[in-house]
Amino acid sequence: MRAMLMLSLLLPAFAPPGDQYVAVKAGKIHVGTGAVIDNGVVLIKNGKIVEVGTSVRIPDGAKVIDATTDVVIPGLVNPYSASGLVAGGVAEEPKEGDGHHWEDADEMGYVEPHPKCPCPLENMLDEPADKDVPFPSFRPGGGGGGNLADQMAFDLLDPLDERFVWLQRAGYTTTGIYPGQGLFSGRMVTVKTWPGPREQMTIAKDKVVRMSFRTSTQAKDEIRRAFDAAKAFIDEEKKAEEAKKKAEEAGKNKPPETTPPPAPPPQGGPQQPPQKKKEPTDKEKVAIQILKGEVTVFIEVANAASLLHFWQVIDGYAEFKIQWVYILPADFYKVTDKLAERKVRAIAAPGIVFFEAPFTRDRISLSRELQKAGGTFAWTPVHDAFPAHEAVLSHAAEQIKFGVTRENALKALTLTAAQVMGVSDRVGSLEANKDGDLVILSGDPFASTTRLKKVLIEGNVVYEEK
Amino acid sequence: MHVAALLWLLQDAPKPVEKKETVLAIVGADVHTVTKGTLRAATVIIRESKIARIGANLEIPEGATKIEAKGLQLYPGWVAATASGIGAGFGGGGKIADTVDPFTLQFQLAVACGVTSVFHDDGSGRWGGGGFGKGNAALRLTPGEIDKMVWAEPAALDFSSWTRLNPVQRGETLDRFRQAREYIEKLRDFEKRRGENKLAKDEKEPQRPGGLDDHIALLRGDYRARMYASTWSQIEDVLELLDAYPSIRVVLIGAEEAWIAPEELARRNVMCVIDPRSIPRKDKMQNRPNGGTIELAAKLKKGGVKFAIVPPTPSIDTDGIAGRDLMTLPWDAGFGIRGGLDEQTALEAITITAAEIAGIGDKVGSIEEGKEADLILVNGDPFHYKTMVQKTIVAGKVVYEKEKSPFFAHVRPKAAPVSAPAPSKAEGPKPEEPKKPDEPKKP
Repeated sequence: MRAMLMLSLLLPAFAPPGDQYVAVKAGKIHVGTGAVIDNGVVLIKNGKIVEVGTSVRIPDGAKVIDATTDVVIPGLVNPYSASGLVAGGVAEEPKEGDGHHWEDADEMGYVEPHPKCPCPLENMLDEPADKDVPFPSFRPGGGGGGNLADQMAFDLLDPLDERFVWLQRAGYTTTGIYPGQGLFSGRMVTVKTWPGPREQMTIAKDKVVRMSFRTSTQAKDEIRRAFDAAKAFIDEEKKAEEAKKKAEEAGKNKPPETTPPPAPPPQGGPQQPPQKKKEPTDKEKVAIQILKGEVTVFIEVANAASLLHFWQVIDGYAEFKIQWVYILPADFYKVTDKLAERKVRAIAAPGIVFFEAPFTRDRISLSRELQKAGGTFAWTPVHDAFPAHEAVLSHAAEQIKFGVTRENALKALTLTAAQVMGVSDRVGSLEANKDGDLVILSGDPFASTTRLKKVLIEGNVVYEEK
Repeated sequence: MHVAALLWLLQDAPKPVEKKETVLAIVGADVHTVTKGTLRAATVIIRESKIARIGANLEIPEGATKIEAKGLQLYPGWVAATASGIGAGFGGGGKIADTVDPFTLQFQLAVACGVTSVFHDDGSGRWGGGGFGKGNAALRLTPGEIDKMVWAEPAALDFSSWTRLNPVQRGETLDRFRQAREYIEKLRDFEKRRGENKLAKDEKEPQRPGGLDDHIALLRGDYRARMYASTWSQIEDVLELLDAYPSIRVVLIGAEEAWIAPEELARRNVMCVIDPRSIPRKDKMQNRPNGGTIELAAKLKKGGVKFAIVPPTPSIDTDGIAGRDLMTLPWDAGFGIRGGLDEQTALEAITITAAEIAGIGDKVGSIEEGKEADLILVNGDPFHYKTMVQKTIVAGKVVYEKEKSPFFAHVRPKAAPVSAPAPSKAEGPKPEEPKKPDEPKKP
């Protein structure tokens, strides 16, 4: 109850307060598309960017943020995270370096916000968390179990998770969260890192499903079973549509007064035709959407060999335009030629650099290999804990050192990450009509001496260097 | 929607790659065909994955990739008649084909050491009560590819449990074989009469008894029965089964005491997988011949038994004593030679005979036109420890080159090709006089 109350306190912060302008005067603006503007202005109106350029007229009454000696980049986008859901939603073991906030969580999975958190949530810290208070109603009990294929990370979203605030402090303004583990592990949610009511935070909740694959007979068969069933449903649907068309044509040709057209099947939905019909299971529903290309699939693959086995399976469904985005294993350089053939879209962790083979000390940048192969890549921090997010720019710099272009590096952290999640119409670059999410840095984004000075989400300063 | 995003929609589909026939010509090597003698300084032409032509002074087709191999020795890739941990793990109820991994260190080392096919045995079901182990597969070591990696799965049935059955179980098992044989005979009779149009009216095909598929497969010879048998008493158990059902094609694994009466094995067409270095100590309390001998291979040969040779550790062992695993498979054949075996049979024991035992003798194991191009180029006598694999070719593709690979590139990097290993004047030092162990008495 208390938490619910606190949330309602947040609501005014999200309400549109009339035409409110924020102008960020910047020494240098990295738009995110590759373009760089010197001595420009980012003008934000009611949270949305209206103009970016050198000759922007700043309206009267606009809040001006002076960053004329600074560098502005789009708010960072993490496409792949497990953090930010109620405990139980993610059946994953805590990762290394991830320990202390798991320890802090009570048995219900509640984590206290950071004491120095600048957001309005700090009000909550006045009282200690009361363990007897039940979860607000939007938290499903336990979560995660049972229906995995169709579970939605949105339903498990925990706006009170301390980690959202941490993400802001690392320059991340958008994050994609997957709900669980398993072959078909549910629908991801893409949220702003500004804690608030779930609907307010959420950019997209049903655009991406996650799969996770390690090769085994069982896993391969499970994909084939789900996809075959989905294929059958899609075929049936097509047949039903054709039948409907035929029926309509027949109806047109005949004089309407003698024979009214046969009752057409009900509109829409894959559950047609109405006659005794098997309903798709949740997994099959997801598979139908996957085959139709209605959702993007984030497919995490355990190792290079699993990738070969995975392709062996999905090449059987080549007639479908499936939207795959690969979360690539560390050893994917072994199949670079095949990745090139397929021109994959991928998400890789920028920090991963490793030794090529025993007895050599050749370092290989996974992203550089992908760049060479003509693939597209986005980056996610090496793990879900705060230090990895904080260090992401220096990890990116390391990648540049090993051959990734600066342009691709910045895109991998912003625009490409937004694109793979299908939210690039709202975030990922500093362009008109997109959200006013940006990061003000003291200098070059990839210089080790650069400090993070301010973070804005939808025109609001959510973090400021003290 | 962004243009870029739209473009992506089109990207993921694999593009059709224009396929040109790949032709490889290995020129100037001494070609050790194993089955058809040795050709000096000959040419081997490989089209796609198969050996197209072998001969002297062959014209090299246009567009062929030429491998200069003057002074090198060309052999078929080594075949391990028993192996584990190379490219596949424990099946765990699933299919081996679904878990093969062509990237493991063991896999790469095996290829670098000239092993191109293995009989993978994960040992599952081996000791079950009267059951048949199917956790095995004949694997081809195709680095980076899985589509051609499995020759057959299962490639044999493991029936080692036979020697461990108690008399009651043994009776039951024999009864099942009897039923299986009855069915096979009835079916054969039925088919014969159907061929002659002599079937009775409404006569139906004899009903296949349930639960006997494996027994039927063994009696028909569809699979070989692999049976671990070390002592002569275990071997006698197997011979007893064969006397009742002679059509079962048995491969004895281990067979350390098979030297006692190899002709008994030869008479029943039993093949063996042996390790010449596995020499159990003689038990002096027994008043019958027993124990092992380094002359096992030689004696099997003399008795007319076909056998493959495997090392003491039939896997890639990066952690232990060198020279005891599949990285040095030819050395173990060399131990057979040390015990009196001729070199030709030693070679066969790690190539064609091993391939036959793995059920792939028609595809690999010798250099013949029409066979699969799984070949190795070595720089000398393969049984000599100084000899190293220079190139490995699997399915017509060069998959290992000593100079370019991190494995063994540092070993004698500038080795000049050594002269041909004409058995009489081999380049390496002569093997030492074999030490003769206590000769066990013949029965």
